[in-house]
Amino acid sequence: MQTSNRHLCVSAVLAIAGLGLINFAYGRYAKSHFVPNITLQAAEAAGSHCLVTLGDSRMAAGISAPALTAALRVQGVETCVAPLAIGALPISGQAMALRHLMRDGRAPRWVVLGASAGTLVAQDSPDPSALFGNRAAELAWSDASDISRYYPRFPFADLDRGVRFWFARSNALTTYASAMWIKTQALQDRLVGNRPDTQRNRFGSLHDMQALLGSFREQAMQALAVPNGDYRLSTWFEMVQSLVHDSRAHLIVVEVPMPASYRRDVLDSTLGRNYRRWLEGELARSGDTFVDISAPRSVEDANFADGIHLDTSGALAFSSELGGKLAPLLESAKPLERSP
Amino acid sequence: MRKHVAEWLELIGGSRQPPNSWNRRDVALARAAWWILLVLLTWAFAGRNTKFIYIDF
Repeated sequence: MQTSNRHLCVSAVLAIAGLGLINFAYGRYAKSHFVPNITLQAAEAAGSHCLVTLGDSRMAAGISAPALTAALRVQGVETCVAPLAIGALPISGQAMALRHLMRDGRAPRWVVLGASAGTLVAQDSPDPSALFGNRAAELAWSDASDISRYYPRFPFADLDRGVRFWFARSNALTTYASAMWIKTQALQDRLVGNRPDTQRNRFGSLHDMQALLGSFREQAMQALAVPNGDYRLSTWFEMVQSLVHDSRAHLIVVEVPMPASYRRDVLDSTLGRNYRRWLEGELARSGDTFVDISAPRSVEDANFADGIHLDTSGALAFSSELGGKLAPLLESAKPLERSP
Repeated sequence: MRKHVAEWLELIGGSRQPPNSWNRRDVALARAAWWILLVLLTWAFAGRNTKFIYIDF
């Protein structure tokens, strides 16, 4: 090998080693600053045999652990509460969060899963490029075997998406890339003089959140529009059921609070009612429970400050009412005996 | 000026031989650092402003 080529090879090896080092350092930094990881650690720290709440940002905004604990205590149910709802995570990410929580022998007593129309039915596999933002948690928490849950026909079909999923989960630079994008976006805004959106809450700009209500409505109606109402449960939801049942815990699915316009257009539509009937039947068959609390008594549309998420007083009202509705269910719950 | 910059970019990128008087190890290190910088810049800016990103970080 010529000397010049040898030096180029040395440069390449050094560059790869340097990237490996940066990947390692960024991975450590990102893991400790990524809020889904922090939420998971807090849920783990709550201890074993707690009531675990799962769901997306609607559940994350709506659950006040102290209010829920207090409401249960009033009714004679003493338990720790481990909030594990994470914004933007669909049922796949929620299932992974529960699986992660239950590693090391940790077992919940009850799992309360916040859902809304269509979020528990089987849907198209996501492109790996969709696993950004908080959904990066799905890359971070995935097992190698999850590739077959996302892409059941891999490798004979879906080779491209499967390989990209595998690569994206294999290193921190791709897993947590969007965490850096959000920072470079702020830098770019400063450089070009874009004024940051000041009208925002912890979930993002109010404008984006208000637009999200329309997206939720559209996605729900799309998910519910299955010919002949032939719904199938998501394999991820079935994983949640297996995890809960195997640990002899109880699964309670809660219809999360939504504004009146959403309830009218989606939940009270013919499709929405058919879906609810089907879901209740499915849950009853597997020994799980459905609780509709989409319109809590003390929650008004004004409590959805950004259109979809409950504000503090709405969260307190929802959590208290949820505690009141759950208590009789939890009290009557006995260790489950299920046939394998 | 542009010619000068182009020569430097060719040199640091590896398509031009450095002068014999230069320490080859330093050149190899500089090239590695340059490539890392390019990869990191691409990585950091590739997805910005392309999507609504909801991330708690």
